Amino acid sequence: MKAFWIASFCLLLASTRVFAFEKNIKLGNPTNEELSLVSYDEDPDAEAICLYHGTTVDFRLTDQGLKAEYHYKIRIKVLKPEGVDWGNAEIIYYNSSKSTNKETVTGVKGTSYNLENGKVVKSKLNSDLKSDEMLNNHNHVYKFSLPNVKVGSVIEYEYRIESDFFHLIRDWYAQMSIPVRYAEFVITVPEFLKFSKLMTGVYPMEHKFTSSKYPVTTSNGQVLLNADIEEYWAENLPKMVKEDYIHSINDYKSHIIYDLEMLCFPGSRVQNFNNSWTNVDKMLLEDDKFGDLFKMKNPMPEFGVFLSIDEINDKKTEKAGEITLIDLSACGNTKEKVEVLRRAMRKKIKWNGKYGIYGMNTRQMLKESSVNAAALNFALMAILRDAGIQAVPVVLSRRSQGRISSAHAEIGALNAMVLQVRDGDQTFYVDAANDDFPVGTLHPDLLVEYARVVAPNRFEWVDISKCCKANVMQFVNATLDEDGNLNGMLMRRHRGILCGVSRNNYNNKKDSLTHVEKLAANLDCEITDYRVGDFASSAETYTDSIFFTKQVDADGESIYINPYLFVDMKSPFKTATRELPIECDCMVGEKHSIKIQIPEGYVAESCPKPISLRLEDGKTSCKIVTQVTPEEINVSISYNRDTMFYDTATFENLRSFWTTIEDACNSIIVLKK
Amino acid sequence: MKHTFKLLFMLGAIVLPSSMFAQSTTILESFAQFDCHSANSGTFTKHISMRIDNKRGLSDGNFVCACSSHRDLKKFAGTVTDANGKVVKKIKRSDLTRTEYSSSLASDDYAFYYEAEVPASYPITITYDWEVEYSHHLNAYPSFFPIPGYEIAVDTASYTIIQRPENTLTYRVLNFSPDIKVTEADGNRRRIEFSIGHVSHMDKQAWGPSFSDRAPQVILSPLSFDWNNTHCDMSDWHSFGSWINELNSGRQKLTPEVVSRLHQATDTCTTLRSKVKAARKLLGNMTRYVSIQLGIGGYQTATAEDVCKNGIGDCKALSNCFCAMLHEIGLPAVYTLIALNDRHLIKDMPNFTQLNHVIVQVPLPGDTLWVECTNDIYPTDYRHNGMCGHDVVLIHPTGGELQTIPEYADSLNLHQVFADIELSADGSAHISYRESNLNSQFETLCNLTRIPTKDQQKVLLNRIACSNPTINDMKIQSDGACIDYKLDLHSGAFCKWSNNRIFLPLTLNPFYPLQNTKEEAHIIDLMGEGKLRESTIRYRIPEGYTVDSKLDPLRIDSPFGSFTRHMLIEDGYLVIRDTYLMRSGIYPEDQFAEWIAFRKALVDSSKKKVILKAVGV
Repeated sequence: MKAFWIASFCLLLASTRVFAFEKNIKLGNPTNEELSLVSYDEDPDAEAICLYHGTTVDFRLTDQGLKAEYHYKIRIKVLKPEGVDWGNAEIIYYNSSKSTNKETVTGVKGTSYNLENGKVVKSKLNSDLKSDEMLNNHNHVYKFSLPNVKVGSVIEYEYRIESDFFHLIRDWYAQMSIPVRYAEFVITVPEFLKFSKLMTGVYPMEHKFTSSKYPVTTSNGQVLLNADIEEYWAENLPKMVKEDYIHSINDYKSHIIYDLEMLCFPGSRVQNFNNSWTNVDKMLLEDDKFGDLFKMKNPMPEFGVFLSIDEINDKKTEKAGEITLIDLSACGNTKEKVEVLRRAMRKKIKWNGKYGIYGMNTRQMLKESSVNAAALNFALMAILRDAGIQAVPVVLSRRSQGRISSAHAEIGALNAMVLQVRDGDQTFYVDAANDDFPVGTLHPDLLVEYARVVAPNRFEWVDISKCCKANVMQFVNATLDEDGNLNGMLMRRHRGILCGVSRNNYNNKKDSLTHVEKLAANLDCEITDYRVGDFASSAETYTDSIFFTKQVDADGESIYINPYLFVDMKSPFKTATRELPIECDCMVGEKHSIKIQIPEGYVAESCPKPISLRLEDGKTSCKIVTQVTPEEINVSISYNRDTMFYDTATFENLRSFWTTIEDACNSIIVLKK
Repeated sequence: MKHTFKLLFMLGAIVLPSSMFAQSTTILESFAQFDCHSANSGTFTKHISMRIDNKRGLSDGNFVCACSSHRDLKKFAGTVTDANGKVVKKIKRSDLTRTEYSSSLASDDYAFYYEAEVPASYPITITYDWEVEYSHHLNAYPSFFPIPGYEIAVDTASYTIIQRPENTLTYRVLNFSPDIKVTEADGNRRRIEFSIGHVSHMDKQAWGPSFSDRAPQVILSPLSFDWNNTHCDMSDWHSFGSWINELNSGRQKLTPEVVSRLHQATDTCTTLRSKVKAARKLLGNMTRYVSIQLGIGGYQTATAEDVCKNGIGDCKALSNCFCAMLHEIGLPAVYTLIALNDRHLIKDMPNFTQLNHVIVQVPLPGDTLWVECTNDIYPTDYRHNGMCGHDVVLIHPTGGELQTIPEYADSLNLHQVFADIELSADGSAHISYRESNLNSQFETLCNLTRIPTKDQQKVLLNRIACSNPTINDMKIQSDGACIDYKLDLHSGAFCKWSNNRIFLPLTLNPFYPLQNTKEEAHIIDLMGEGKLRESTIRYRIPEGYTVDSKLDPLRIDSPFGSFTRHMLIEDGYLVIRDTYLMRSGIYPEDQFAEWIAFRKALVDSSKKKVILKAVGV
């Protein structure tokens, strides 16, 4: 028997192919196949593979109330040296001295298994290798490190979390940053709880629901209530790691969200939770940090800023100090008015860099040196109201924080707010916090497909992803001499989102010298003079002018020049394939106009052919036209992208599109004497 | 009305003094005092008031106080005032957040912190006053660091230490000359006060020395201390080393199982070096790095037996275990302390401030190895950048000994490139590309074999300047401190073709444009940057084409290194050979302009092209 065992082991060792696994969900007994595995065919690069991870959620009625109990089990195979760190784990849980509700981690057990000389050697996790640290005022982190984890080890661990937050079920992710062989999630929901569920992600999961019983001890003895056992599982999931051009990788991971809709203990009143966006709307409007702020008073008089003489007369101004009267009469349109008012407000109230959906009233605002974006937007809404401009809040989840779904309501998923402003029959959007971005534009992280207008008597979904665009116009006017010296001026006009981005970069620069040096390095030229436009007078445009010199190749007989000066059209896609779609920051419109005066007596040997490209969806296009006359070279480039999303099927065409553009912009014109 | 503001630069000629660039923060006053109560305890109090001029300086206004089982924050108060002196916020002890989080598995340390809030307007002044109680032992005194970071100026700062007769201490002043006053204090005590007036802010220097090499500081150390029934004599490194040795003695017993595996792995090795390598490999196979810093265990290693049983250890434990393993097979091994962040230890003052890592010295006859035990990505006989040229403290049974780990000669940090390029009429190219990277050049790629294939391709393509590359084949080989790789590439628009002419780049590894060229002149620190790069590119000259450029050699010489380029036509190939030697060293500030000129000349050499022309045109 032993000989057979050893022979089988040797046979297994000789092979590098993965074997057909049987589902092994019980810890304590890794299979021979799991122990012998040396690589994973589906992902030969994998440093480790999760053979199994399972989570069960149960609800227990205790003397302290209803609790949710999570039981996590995991088994991982270490395949490469980098994989040994999977033997270290950290569990973050809620535990605050200021709250009676908390979470507790218990039952932490772990074992590593190693095959040594044909024998399975187990090393158990002991208490010396566990610790608990306070992370901050609200959270703790429980850490442990399994002993004897090396290449080839199978590691297993399990732990439980007992949580007072039965109404906030932890989201469950099937996918990890290593491949997952088998994952399951089982939640037993007693009849007095009702959850809404959302299953999402690129890779599908199976599920089934079965009925069960749930025993409850009452004063009359044990009662059996009904319960549903809801199971979800998936097999052979690839790893999911952050990639370029993906805002939030969690949007693509297979995962499950449970949201409590209703709680109804037998004999008790029904408690409804947010089970629909309509309810979320209602909850927000009833909240004093949201709904009450619709009646918030314009805070600017407290800072000595007024919209009219009457306001000044009404207000007791002796304490106000300096008084400013805002004159909107010079403003040509609503956007300009909003810009003036926002600017005035931001001079007085600072942003603390944080987002959120809850604001504060004027009295609270006056106590703070800086406030979050929601508070700024509510304040701006109040100011606009006094100026006769209608605005309503729009709540959303920033792209970097993951998408929300119109089908699944979750107030906790909302994390940012902007304003929608009515302008006749048009609307535009403004964020009081990111004031580098012109009114009507938003920071790319806020450009979402699903944002929700929440106002008394008005609730609707709006797509604000395409509310604005990044526009750039570049003009180059240069002179070339016989020695290949190119001198000229580059004028850049950034509008829309790009105005905001450029302004933000400029405002955050260390100093002007560093800013210009960085620019020179990026543009690959010497900068002899640099001018930037005044932000105050040109709110919608960031302009700068760069006076440059550059050397091109010249050998006395010929000059060799790439005329596509300062045109950054390098293909962003280096890899041949891509598994996830491409999410762009925003829509883009680019125009370049380049004029280069050539030295007398020189003629161009040839001229690059014009290029005109368009992707199948018709939303992405590029034109490059080059003309040469006896006096000058003229280039005109226009690039347009009216989409922010490319699916994986488009990748090859997209890559080819960019390859063609990059190749075209590498052309050289030879000027001969 | 449109306003413009104009910045004038003459080409590379004007250097703007650092005073033109406003610092973000000024420490208006900083007064600290350490009052010794006994040989093992004392109270540290500090008052600091700083003006923050803009949002870049806001993080300087954060408060952090590191504590531990023998260091506890007792009192705290803070205020924020606006430009008019009005108090806009009072910060209480309860506003501080306490955190125990560490990168270790377990640690005694914890911290209190407060994040300065964005103010209504700048400037603001933030003032903190706090008191920390030290107890149980005093193995170090707080240092005097008047300038805590870049872009911070100081108006006045002082640090006073009040010694009792039982608190013997010594100090070293680095990088500045403070006023030092020694006076008698009541109760037979002595007061030492270090103070400075205005100090301008420091800017980060692209090629300058590190912050700790520049920053004014006073490091203080007791001449002895007691801890957990041990006594440490800190009068010199020798006696300090004795204490470390005493802490760690009796901790080198290996488990029988590891002893058996060790002999199995090493008994058949034919050379001492190969025995060391085999033992190191075994250590790597059976352990991984996990840090545990508890109590005196922060300085005392875990036993080798625990490491064998758990397969876990930090730098101390893994190094101690490795020493035990080498001793078991009859080889010498020395537990060695090192400062990864400081090349030079204070020669005549042992201190805990600088040391932060442990390695192992293996003094073989005619050959000394310096072994990193926490990461087997480094070959056993390779001295990585964190140790080359660094002072170390060898811990012998007789005591500590200072030594310096030798650096590799510049030419041994070798980067070799070979590329054969076949051009196509559409401007694309097929490139057979090979690289060999040795020692410090290996270290820049040492992770390469451990990352996924897709990421390997990204890393390698980033090293080569060619447009629209596609990798047809890739082979990577690593052996010791050398990593070689071969790429079979197609480049979509490799070179520019224009009407009977082809413009060929002369290098696939260009020098990239500089930033920070307008910094004020400063010492140029190129320690550890020495290397030799040899590049050979062969273009097959397409049929019907001939070389239409002069193939003049190029030579750039400077104290910092040299660059040569030779080109020739050989058997139908245009062959370009570049040799670039960068010399490791520290160069005086009067050579700064020459350094910039040298770097610019290198960048220009990368931009040159050779032109092939169609015959008969």
